[in-house]
Amino acid sequence: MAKIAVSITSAKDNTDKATVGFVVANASVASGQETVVFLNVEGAYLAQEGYANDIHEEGFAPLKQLMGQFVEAGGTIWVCSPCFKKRGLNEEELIPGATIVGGAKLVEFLSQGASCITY
Amino acid sequence: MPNVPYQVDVLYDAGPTGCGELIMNLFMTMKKMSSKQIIEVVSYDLGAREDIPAWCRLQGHTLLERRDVDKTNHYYIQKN
Repeated sequence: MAKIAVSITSAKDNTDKATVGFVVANASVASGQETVVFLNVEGAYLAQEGYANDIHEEGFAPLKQLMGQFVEAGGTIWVCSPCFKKRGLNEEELIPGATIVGGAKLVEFLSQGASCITY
Repeated sequence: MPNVPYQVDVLYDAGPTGCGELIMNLFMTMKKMSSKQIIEVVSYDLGAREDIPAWCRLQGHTLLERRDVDKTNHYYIQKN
């Protein structure tokens, strides 16, 4: 099993990128790969419960559904700690399956040979 | 400070710093320590709960334990 990191830096500022990031992450986890989505910069907003409910990019499944499937299939969601803090987001309202992390956690995963793609 | 069964040699209060800032400060602080010495890191950062264990694994230091006092986390790390 390979390690795959999908870095998502967009939310409502670019719903296309946010959506495609999760589409690729879903392809990865559904292909049996150890997959981490790293929500950072504006992407940190996606970790807030309810935020993604109204994001439905044309030609794709609703983002909430994609994110739910990702976690259900065994994917891991990490949220950038300073990005989360900067935006005044609330830990008590994190989406299920998301964990707040800092750079060292991501670096550890990458140092183990993970490939990374960024949206 | 929590009551722990070992001698803490260095105390580092990281406060609200997190991510790369906390890790760099911790790295510089521990660089001055001798092997087997123990540092207590006090942090309020949510990400540190995942970051400090990961950093210890990367650097080969031993995270003895984490103790939580309300929303403050105390990490006890023994230098390799």
